[in-house]
Amino acid sequence: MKRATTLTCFHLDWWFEKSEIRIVPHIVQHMKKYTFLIIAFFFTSSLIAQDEKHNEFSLNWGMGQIMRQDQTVSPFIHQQWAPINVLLSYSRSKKLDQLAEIKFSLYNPSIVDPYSFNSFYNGNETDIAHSFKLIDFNYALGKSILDKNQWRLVVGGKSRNQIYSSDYNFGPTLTPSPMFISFGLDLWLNLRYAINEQHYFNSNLGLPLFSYIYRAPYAAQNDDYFENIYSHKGIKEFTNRVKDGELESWGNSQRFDFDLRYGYVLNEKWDVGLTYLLAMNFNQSPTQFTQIENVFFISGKIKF
Amino acid sequence: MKNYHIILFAFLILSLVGCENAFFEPEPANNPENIFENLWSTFNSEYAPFEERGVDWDQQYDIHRPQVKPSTSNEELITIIKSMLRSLDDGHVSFTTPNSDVFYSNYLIDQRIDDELFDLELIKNNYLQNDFLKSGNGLNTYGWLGNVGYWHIKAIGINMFDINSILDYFASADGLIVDMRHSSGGNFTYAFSEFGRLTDEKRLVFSSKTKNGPGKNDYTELYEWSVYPKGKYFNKPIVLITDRYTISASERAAMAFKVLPNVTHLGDTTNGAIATKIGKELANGWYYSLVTQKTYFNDGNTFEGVGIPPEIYVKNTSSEMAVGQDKTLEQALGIF
Repeated sequence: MKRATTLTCFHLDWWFEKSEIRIVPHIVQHMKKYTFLIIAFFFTSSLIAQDEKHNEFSLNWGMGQIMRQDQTVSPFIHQQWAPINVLLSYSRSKKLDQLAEIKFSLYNPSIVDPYSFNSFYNGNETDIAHSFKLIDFNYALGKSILDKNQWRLVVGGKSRNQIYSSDYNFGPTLTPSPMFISFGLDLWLNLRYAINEQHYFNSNLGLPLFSYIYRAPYAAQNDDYFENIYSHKGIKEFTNRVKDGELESWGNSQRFDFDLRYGYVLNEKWDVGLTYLLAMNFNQSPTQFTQIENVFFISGKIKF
Repeated sequence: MKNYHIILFAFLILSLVGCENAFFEPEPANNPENIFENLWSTFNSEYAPFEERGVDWDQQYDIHRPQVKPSTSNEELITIIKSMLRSLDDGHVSFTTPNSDVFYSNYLIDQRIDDELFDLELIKNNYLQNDFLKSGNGLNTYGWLGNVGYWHIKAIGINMFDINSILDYFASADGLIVDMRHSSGGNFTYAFSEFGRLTDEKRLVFSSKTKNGPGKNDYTELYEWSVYPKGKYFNKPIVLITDRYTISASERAAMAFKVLPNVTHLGDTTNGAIATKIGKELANGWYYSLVTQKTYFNDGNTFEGVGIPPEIYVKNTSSEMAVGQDKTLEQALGIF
């Protein structure tokens, strides 16, 4: 551990001194100071935390791609790569394994570049892209059924919750908030493979056992939709929509949630890693809805 | 880390990313014939008031489809589509293409016919003597015309939350003129939820049903919309003024006024685009809107396509407007 820290420090000092890039001296001093502080933090935290760690908290940021075809609104596939994907996760591993996650993603796809038009009501306007806001929050609980050599397998259940709010902008006409709300219980599998003391893979797989889903009506807006927004109070509008949801069978709704994380152990306290997340969501009621999300996260994890 | 771990990791990710397209329905193709077909068939399965507007959509197909060929230019296709949509003459049907005026199926709006027969600035200057208040993001304009209150509603939205304060402001008035000329719609639920002080009992306003499938008769059950009493009843005479540019949610609000026993409706017939519209897009990025509902007034008749008729028909003329007179407003004042 100490050797790695020293090496890091050495490399940075060497780079600062030998680099062909000329950096203003006071910036170099600041960088040195911050580098020292970060290294000191890692070093001291690893000294403090000599016990076995049961809790982990990770912060992930990444580039994501969405592909969505919601036939209620449009027959076209809306896709975009976007950098606003944040995932916070907390896991605890003792007698039982627990995982709590919350993820936010924002995409603004459009099938063409925005253009201008002149409307009777608002004069000259420029079209804006659609807006997809995705919030996922999950809690999983399971028990290890295999813990041998480099492998560890946990099986359990996951409370899976998604709120997807979208604005589809069709030039002068907005089709607001065809929300997709889904609550469900998944079969949860967590597999960890330790390559060696410093490198590991960790993967989660979720397969739905049942889902309770609210989707916008067939024509995006109907009288139930207007009744739901009648109160003009955000929470009540939301709960009204939830009440209009339905338990859906595998025939109407399918999901597949998978992530694969490569982790590198910096020290007893900190890991860094790369995570690939794949979330596939298919729904057939009242129209075909297909959404595939790929996100590549970089992550930092603290163990305590 | 051994190389095979990296290769396995990369292979897994690439294989998952690569097979995505297999999960989606084929998209409508981006060529003139498919764009036309996509537009026509979406109207055919989703547009509700063909009957109310007396349009045979199959006949429109027979007229326009042969004009579209693989070699049809964008300009030609725009002209063909506009011609087909014009048959609906629907204020809720629009067609948007880059860097041009939005096309409105409703001839009156598209050609701005009689647009100049209402001017709020004229009322502010010549009748309110520039003594007026505004609220609700400028959508409410109100002031005194002698002992009578005057309230212009430009659109229906959060400005409806101010109904209570506007009615308080006119508590001592002999009556109220609600001017909904050129009121461009919005979200009717704001009007209905805030309407409580204007009615002394529950009153059915209209009912509606919405497409819930692609078949000709695929509709939800009829849903009834009423207004309910809430708060201190405003029991003064009200004159409602509308014109041909009173449209959409503003027409629904006008219907809510119309069911009140103390309301006299004066002016011109409303636009007749009452049912809800939704937006859509075509493969080349052009936009359009269409209507997915049928609506019926509380007596079972529909105003879709014909507009809400006033009890007293009055229409300004260009010459009166040119000399700063709003005869419609003056006639409304004469009722009190």
